[in-house]
Amino acid sequence: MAGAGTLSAAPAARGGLPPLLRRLLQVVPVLFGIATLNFLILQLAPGDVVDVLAGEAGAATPETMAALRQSFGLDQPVWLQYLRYLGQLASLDLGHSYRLNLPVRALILTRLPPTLLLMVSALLLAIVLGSLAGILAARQVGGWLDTLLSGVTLLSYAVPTFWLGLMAIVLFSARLGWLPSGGMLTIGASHDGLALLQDLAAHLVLPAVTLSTFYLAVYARLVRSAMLELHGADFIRTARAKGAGEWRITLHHAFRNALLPMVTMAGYQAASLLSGAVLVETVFSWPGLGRLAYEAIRTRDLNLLLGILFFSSILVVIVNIAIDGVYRLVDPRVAPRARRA
Amino acid sequence: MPLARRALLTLLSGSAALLAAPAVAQTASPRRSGGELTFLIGSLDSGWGLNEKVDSYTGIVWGQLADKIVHVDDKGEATPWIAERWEENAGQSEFILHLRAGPSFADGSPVDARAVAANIELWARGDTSRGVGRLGLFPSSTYKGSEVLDDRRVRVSFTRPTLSFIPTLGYHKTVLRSLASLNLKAEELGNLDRQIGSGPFTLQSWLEGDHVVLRRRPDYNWGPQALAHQGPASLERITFKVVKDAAIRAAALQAGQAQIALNIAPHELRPLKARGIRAVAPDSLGFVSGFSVNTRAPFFDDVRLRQALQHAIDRQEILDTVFTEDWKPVTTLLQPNVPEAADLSALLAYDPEKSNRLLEEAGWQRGADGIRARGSDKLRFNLFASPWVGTSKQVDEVIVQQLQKVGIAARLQVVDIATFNARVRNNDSVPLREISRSFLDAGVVGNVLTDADRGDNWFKLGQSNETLNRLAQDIATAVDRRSRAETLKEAQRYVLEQGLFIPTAQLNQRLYVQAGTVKGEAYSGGGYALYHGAWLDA
Repeated sequence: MAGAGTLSAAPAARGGLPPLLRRLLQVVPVLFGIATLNFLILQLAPGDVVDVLAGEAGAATPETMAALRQSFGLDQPVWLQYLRYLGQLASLDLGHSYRLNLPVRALILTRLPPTLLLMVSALLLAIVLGSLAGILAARQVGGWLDTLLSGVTLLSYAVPTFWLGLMAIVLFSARLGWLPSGGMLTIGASHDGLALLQDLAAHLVLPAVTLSTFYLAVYARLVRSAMLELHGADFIRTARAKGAGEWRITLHHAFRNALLPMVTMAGYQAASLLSGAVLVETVFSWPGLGRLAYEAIRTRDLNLLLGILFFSSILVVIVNIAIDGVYRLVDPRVAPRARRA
Repeated sequence: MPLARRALLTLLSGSAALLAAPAVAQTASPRRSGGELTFLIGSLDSGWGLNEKVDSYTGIVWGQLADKIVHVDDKGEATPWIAERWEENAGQSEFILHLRAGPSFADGSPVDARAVAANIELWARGDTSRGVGRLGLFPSSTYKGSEVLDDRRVRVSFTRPTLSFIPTLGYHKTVLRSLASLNLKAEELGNLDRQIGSGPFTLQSWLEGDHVVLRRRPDYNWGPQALAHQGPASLERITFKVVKDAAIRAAALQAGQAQIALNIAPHELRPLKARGIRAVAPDSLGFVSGFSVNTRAPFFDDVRLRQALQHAIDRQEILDTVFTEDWKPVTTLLQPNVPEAADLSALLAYDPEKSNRLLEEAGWQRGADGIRARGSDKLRFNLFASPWVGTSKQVDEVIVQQLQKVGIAARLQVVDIATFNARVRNNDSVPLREISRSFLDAGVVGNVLTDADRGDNWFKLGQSNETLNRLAQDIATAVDRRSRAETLKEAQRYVLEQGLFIPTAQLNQRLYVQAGTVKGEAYSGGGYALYHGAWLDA
């Protein structure tokens, strides 16, 4: 997705639409497709929200269940429900959650910031630490540091996230008492300013590190192999011949070139980070979108689930557009002007 | 996952965890005012809407935020709360509630006859235009209406005797809310800021599905008369925080980050007790855990097969494998604290030889694979674990193995709530439906026997069984608890003899695992905690 945007940027120079606007227009059919798929897939799940409500009632009569389905519009043909859903999306009205009796948009907007904070923190941690591990390993191929880092990254790649989270809570919260076991803030503490930030940071450490481990391993492997590929490249040999220091060659020449596949990977991982956040949010009681989505699936809260999926789709699309921008920053050769030159 | 949890707790508690230790006894200590209680709970996901949206978890929060018309104790006895007394006619079809003077909702509006009548009306009828179903346990089928006689008196009428009406007013879902709260739009009903109760605590802050913080209401002076503590609550604040994983709830409790954690798996209690943490399993009124048998399911119209199942289950082995010494064997289909519960242990005796004999008589012969068959029919079916009971899967795993010993092949299916209802409810190919139903009045038993008067028809016999018809009718029309108790005992015997209900273990949906510093709490007949009188020892 990221590459397509850069390759098709040339018409803007001939008086066509600006690249960003073109990308945004391309997004419309993509979102329409996603919304349709979401709707159809959810129709396949057994049971509906009325089944859940009836189960909780224990004694709901068929008449009550029928009346509730009528009230929610679930008795209408699927195509009619689909058209109504599209109509809601077009007017940016996501309706209300039948189970929670709250507007879907408000629910999502309450849960989105915690999830974004967790995702961005985990991604930054993964990129910074993964790159560092990759660089160090690539500088001492076959050495003890490379072996150690490869082992650690392989382990963090293989260990299930929920287990790692549980163990982190046991060690750092229950045993050592250094960090809270869950939540985003100390409830009812009413901190502000620096104290609020410190409280937030203390709660963020464990979930962000836990979520980042899997991705950290991916980046470490990616940077290591990309840098090894560049090891004998002409421009590296030229830099070395000119007398550049090894660290300068590593960071300024090799790592900069190794960044491109990493940025591509970051774009792909935005989506998987969202799904990975479900487990981490559950283990660490983090009040994010993932937990809300899980509950919506469990209780067949269709309006809420469709709303979350739609919002998540928009989020992934925005991240990918942003990745296009980062491409141009990292490697001027992929900028439209550079290609034309 | 269970293994990971077990390892986690063992690690936490060190070697001392391996030693069984008794629960710390509550010692008499002076009441202390103030203090903050943190309560870890597995879910607050059902929202804050009306009627059935109050579930087993949010019911605990509502117990502090709102009052009820009466308080019902663990014997099903109703005592005054918002109603200081009540009158009932000889036919038990008309009740006049006399309300206490003074109570007010947190928004300042009075808890008067108008508010009480509006609440009862909504419990009985629901409002499907706003997605609010009627309250399942409320005797809606005989409800005629509520009439405001004056500010402090409400007349409630039924079309026929309804002995269960008064006890039902102490149900965890019959919480009184202000008139403004009852009349919110569908998309506003879940806004806890606008769901106003009159309880000993008021809302301080909340986040949907994550936490609720309550603070003491200083002018509260209308708690249940049966409780020792009167006046405002002693605790200054209560925080309910959702922690999904039971092992993490236990870890946080041990680390001193909370005082109470709800529902820890029974096998994980021992290491906690070794650290001075108590497990409180309040008696709760209702049916025991077990299966109602669908007689329309293939082969299950045969009483011999149903009886074979009854005797093939070793209930002691279930206790030994899944639960702790805190659980006692079941003796009937009702919880042991239900006053009408009979001791019918003999009908539930483990007797695999009898089961084998009954199956042989019914023509089921063991095949080479150990599974019984009759002609081309194999004796096998799907067994769905209850998504509402945490221990259901483990119990059912034991049952599957026990049934296998007598040649019955049950395949365990673990599904979520929606799938359970879609696949099990009204599906006549599923013979056993797991039951976890609480009640405050045993008259509910009459509602499940047949489909008369919108009865739940658990055994899918409709009104074809004369004995069940008579029993259901006698229970429904009873005007005297003592004579009804005899009918209820007869009903229990008949249902168990016929193998229409197969009990497995006591139902305990709420296990409060708490620090020894928590004192003075009380519990309703449904096992819901009331922290109005609770305090924290220094």
